[in-house]
Amino acid sequence: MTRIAILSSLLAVCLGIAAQAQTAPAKPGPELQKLHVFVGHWKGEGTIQPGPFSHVGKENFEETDEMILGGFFLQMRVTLKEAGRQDLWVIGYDPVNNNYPATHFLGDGRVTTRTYTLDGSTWRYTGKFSAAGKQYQFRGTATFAADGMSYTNKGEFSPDGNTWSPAWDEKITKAKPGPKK
Amino acid sequence: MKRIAILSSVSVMLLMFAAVALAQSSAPKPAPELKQADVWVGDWVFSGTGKDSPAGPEHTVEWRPHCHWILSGIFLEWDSNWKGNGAELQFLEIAAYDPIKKVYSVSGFANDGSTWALTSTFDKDTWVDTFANGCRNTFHFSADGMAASGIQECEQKGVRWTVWQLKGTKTKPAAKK
Repeated sequence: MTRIAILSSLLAVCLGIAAQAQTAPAKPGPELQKLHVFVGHWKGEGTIQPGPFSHVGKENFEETDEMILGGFFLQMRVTLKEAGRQDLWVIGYDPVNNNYPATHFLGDGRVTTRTYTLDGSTWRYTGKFSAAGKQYQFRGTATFAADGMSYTNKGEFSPDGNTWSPAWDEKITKAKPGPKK
Repeated sequence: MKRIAILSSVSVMLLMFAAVALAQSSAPKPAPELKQADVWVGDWVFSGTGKDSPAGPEHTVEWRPHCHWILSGIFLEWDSNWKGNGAELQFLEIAAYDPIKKVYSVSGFANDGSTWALTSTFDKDTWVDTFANGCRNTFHFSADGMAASGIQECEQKGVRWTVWQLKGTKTKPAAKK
């Protein structure tokens, strides 16, 4: 399917710049390079607090992150042991808003989105999700250690944007670096 | 980076399977309706013609999608290569099925940084993609699911025009389970 369709607009625009594209394929800019800090194989552990989540309590997970589509997107494949599911993330860069939109495909069938902004070594994120017919907001930070070999991920959620409760607290350690270039 | 703004409507999708609300801790099984989308699974080669504008010259188009189920059969993924008018594009699309609305919500990502969202339906042998900008793709599948034809139509200033028309065959069917 194709969306190609995409391609309606996409194709029209792409082909509109075909001459340029032929000689100079699009290259990811420096902002996308910053996503490379995630590339590699990671192991994580943490706790999900009681709340409208598919799993609460201790959690262990592994994730493999790589740049795809010519380096324009970061793909994360996550296996969550206790939750018993696999998730997929696709994260890109929006130069207009100077942020990193992420689409999260959960192994339980849901799709959520969140937006990251980078502040030094800390990735801040906000997003929304639904559970049992209710809408919730969440926000959090992923803060990298100076050596880039680990990061902490802390988040909280709110039913109304006013009252926030702890949601998750994780420590993620790089088990295997990304490929050398 | 060339980000195509038109398409950068990052999908704000919050699809929920009904079962999720009731039993979030148990892994859901794919909705039975997903079975019909099996016809996409495999490697395809489509070829045909396309135009950049209603009055533009025709050029040849080739589309090679590899389609497969991911995340335990909950989502359908297309990995595609598109060639037309001297340009080449790689893109990834992932479809989630909403059993309540009975539609597929598709998120797309391309190797120029662009993203898009569309909604798809499947009725008998016909798959229809609908874009927010009014463009529409229609694919008809053969009875054996090994061939398909597709057309994309858009509207510009009240005039409906054909962006591309393709015919394709499945060169590699889905792997036996």
